[in-house]
Amino acid sequence: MAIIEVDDIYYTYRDGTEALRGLSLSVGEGERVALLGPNGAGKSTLLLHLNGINIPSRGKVTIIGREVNRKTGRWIRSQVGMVFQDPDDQVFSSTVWEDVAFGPQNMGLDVKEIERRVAGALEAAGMSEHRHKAPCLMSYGQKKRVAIAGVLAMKPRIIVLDEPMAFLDPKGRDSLMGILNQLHSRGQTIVIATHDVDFAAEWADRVVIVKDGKTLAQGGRHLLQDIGLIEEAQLRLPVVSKIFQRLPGLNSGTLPLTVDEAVDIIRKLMDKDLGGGRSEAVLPRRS
Amino acid sequence: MKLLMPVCAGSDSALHRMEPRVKVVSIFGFVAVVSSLSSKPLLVSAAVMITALALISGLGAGYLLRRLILVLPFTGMVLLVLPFAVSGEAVFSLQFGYFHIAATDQGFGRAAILSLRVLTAVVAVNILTATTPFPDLMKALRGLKIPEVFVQVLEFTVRYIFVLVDEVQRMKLARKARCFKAGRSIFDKGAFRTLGQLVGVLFVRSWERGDRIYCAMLSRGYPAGAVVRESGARPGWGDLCRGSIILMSAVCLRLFESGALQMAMPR
Repeated sequence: MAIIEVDDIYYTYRDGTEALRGLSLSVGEGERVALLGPNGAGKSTLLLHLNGINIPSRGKVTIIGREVNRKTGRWIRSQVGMVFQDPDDQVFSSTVWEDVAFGPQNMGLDVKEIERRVAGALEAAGMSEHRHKAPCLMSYGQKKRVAIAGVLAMKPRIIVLDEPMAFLDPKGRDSLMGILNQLHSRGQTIVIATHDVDFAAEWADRVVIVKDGKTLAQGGRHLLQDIGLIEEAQLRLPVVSKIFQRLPGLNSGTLPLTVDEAVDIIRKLMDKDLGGGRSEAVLPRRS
Repeated sequence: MKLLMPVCAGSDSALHRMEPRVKVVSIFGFVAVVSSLSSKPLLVSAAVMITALALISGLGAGYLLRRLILVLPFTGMVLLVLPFAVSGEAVFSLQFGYFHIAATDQGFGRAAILSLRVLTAVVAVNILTATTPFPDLMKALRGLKIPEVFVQVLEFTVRYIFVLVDEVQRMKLARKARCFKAGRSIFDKGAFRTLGQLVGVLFVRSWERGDRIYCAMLSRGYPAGAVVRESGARPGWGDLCRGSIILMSAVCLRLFESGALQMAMPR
């Protein structure tokens, strides 16, 4: 059963901007979904619908079998945790501990449970030793991890992240990737809005491609190889696929999407041509 | 930037160790009572007392002076106008064309009283913020049942002043990178326009950020039904004693003034 069901929703901002114009998608429990689209496609607007902050003017959003509306808003927010793009928007308290405790406190949990959850969330985000520090004096990557911990402490069934990789340094990206993998292995449903096709190709189980407030396509990662679709969505092929696209000789049918897939293909070619010979011999001949 | 930081100057004095709630009550009580004084000698002694307390708790004189300068733009204007605005015996007068204004003795007296009150209040509040870590201070205010809205306004101001200053800094740098030269005065037309745009853009950005922050808070279940907060331990007797000494010193001054305490006092 789909845990998130978005059915033909429309949303117009007060200033008249039509952000969503008939967008649909569905997400299964435990899936890793990348929501791809160019800037201004309506990704962030859509995410705010998933936890009931925006209510669609037409169409409906169903989360775990319940329709999102003003009445279910509070319950939905305890089920769908949202990590905003800029951690400065989300992390506002004067210490890390207090900020992570903000959500659980709002849920009306007792002190013991709050402490347990905050400790667990800080541990998962790797921020335990910073719990008494002031977020305003932290690095961007650290603030991001505090923001994620603040959402984890609410133990939502679905976690939604808006451009989580933006502005992070390579180490920050790696540690965020680690956190995401850990969450996935615990069976958490994760939705990420991004325009980073390389990240989507490496990470996602399913991709949803949106443009101008509408769904262009949704399905497996193979959508990222569909050149017509990718161009229509103003995205690009993942770097790995691009390389193989320009070397048709290397290409044995389908384009690889991830580094691992590419390595597999190259290794097979090497085995076939040289019986395990050295790789330098392959490339000059092929190109 | 450093001036904006809620730093803890020094780290071990009786005041640093004092229970934050007791400290808040005694310091604000002191300010409230002293503000009701109107005799100059008593206000001077209150100012001397609070400054001595600040110096004893390890706040440097330079630190206090810098903090006082921050307040000057706000009170300075009033202090300048006040001598001319109160009627009484003229000390000197100024002639601007048809306008004739006179500074009066009574006016100077009022200005002196006001500045002494401001001095006492600023020093007192600085003692509080410099000897209490900011999170503890906020916790104390909540513990004293100050309405959540006020505490949050304080918390958000301190939290986002950094973000805002950063933003201004970045915009300044970006302007410089495009060869902008700041005008010599605020009356320089180009510089004035740029300054105006800066303020406008900052306002719009803060507005948008405020919106996003609110969304983020809603996402985490705000506003809460009933928030459970741990209440701090009962303050010790030592803290209560020290707190009441601070408060009582102000109350004594007030009693002197009202004449309830019969003592020879130079008026």
